[in-house]
Amino acid sequence: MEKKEFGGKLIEIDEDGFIQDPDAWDQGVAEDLAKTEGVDAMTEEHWKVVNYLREYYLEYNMAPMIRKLCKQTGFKLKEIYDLFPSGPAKGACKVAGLPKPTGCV
Amino acid sequence: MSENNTKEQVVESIKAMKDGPRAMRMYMEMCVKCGTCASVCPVYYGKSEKRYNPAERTDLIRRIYRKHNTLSGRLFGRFAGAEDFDPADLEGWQGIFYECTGCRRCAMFCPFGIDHSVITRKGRALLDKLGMTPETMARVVKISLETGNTDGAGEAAFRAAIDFLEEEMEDEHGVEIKIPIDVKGADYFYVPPSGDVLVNPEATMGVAKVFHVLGMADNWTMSSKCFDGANYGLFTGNDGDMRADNKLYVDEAKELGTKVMLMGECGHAYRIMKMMMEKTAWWGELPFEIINCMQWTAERIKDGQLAFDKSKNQQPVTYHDPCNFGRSCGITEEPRVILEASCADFREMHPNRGDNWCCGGGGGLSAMDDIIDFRMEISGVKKLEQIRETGATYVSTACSNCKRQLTQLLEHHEEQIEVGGVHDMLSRAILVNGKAAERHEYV
Repeated sequence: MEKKEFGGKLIEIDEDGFIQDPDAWDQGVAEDLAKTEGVDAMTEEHWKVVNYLREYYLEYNMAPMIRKLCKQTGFKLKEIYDLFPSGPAKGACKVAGLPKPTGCV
Repeated sequence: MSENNTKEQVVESIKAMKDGPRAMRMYMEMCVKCGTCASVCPVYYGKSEKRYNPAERTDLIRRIYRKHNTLSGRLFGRFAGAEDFDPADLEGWQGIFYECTGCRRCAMFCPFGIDHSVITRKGRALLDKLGMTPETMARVVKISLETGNTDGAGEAAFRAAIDFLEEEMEDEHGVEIKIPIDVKGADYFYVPPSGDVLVNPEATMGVAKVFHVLGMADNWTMSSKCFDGANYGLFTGNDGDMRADNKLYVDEAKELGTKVMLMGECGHAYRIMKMMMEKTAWWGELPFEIINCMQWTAERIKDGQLAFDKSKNQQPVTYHDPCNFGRSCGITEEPRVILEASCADFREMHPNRGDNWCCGGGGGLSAMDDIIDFRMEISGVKKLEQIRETGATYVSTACSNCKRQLTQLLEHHEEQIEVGGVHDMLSRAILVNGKAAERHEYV
């Protein structure tokens, strides 16, 4: 699998650019991942979404439902798209260091 | 594996088809390449190249079959449409056999009834035996066999999702609507695709509301181990994987003492459970019945036991028949009964039911983002046209595979059209204590 530099570290990514080892994630990695998804600078609002996804993932080993993400962070789906142009699943989850979902979802 | 071993393995497996199921023998011997299949195939519609012609694809196997199993093939080789297997071709096969969506539309129109999806599956099975299933697909099977679901979710994630759905329903209706988990002795065991619990919440909320309204909240259950009917062994052609995945669910139903296994909105899960496992008695006689949740709900609607406020669903809604429900299982009227009861403006797309065009992501292709250009620009083209013609702003479909493909397809082609399930629309309009949901829009 391909390796690329994020946050000053060489990290393995899959064909869609999702990092493979969630433990390799840190703030610097997130900032560089964000650039690959059209987010030039991470603001407080970006971090609110990313931190929620990250914490949920660490607890449940799974991403939350988009509906739950919206409810808990107080952002509407449109606002999440404004923050992460490629959307919550492909964009925000990738920046939060979650692996790519498998199967039909 | 050496090249000789590979060759022997593939040739022996194709030779053995002569003594296999009669239908497959006919598929090998009857095709005259009349071209009918190509004219009705969603892939060939998207791009009319030889590579995408179903009969050309399946001829990859047929030519080897002729070479080894027919006198004319042995004697006259290429002049009789026969050719020996060359291991160098395998890499090409990997692409080509994953460019058929297995939708079986060809079989509806072929004058001989040849089902090219069955031959495609044979091609995939040969690849799988050689460890050549595309990585994106092999990963899903591996995760599913390890965890019992294609998302790799554990019990904690499942329970957290269910808690959230219960919270949502309480917000919507102001009353507690339960989703029971692991209840032994409950008559109904609901088996959705995992996407309908972990990702798209409303289908499972819809089912829970139906049980609640009928006063049967204590008589159904979900399982914290088995919450994903999806089974990718069907797609990789690996019967062993398909059975192993299936057995978990049948064992769990027995453990729970289920009377009815209520399959969710997942076409191929239902097809495997009903048309394959039950029909050919993989695990002997079953102590439970298998029905689909749409059949069950449609019956309750026809009996007048459920009431709706259609004004909650004002937008034009159409239904995409998943191939595995429409063509392969004959479940076509039930989703329409539910949608017509719960939506103010239901519109058909044409053609529909058993003649419907595939979403372009069938046969597991929907899970393969490595071929997304193919799915967006070739296999999904016909479906996009069909949906646009309806003018609908919501496409309802009863399959997570179709939902993923359609969501990506409509987004890719910049259409503002929502994609969702059937019970999702029911959930928004069904009356609980005389009132429909006060639904929160997060858009």
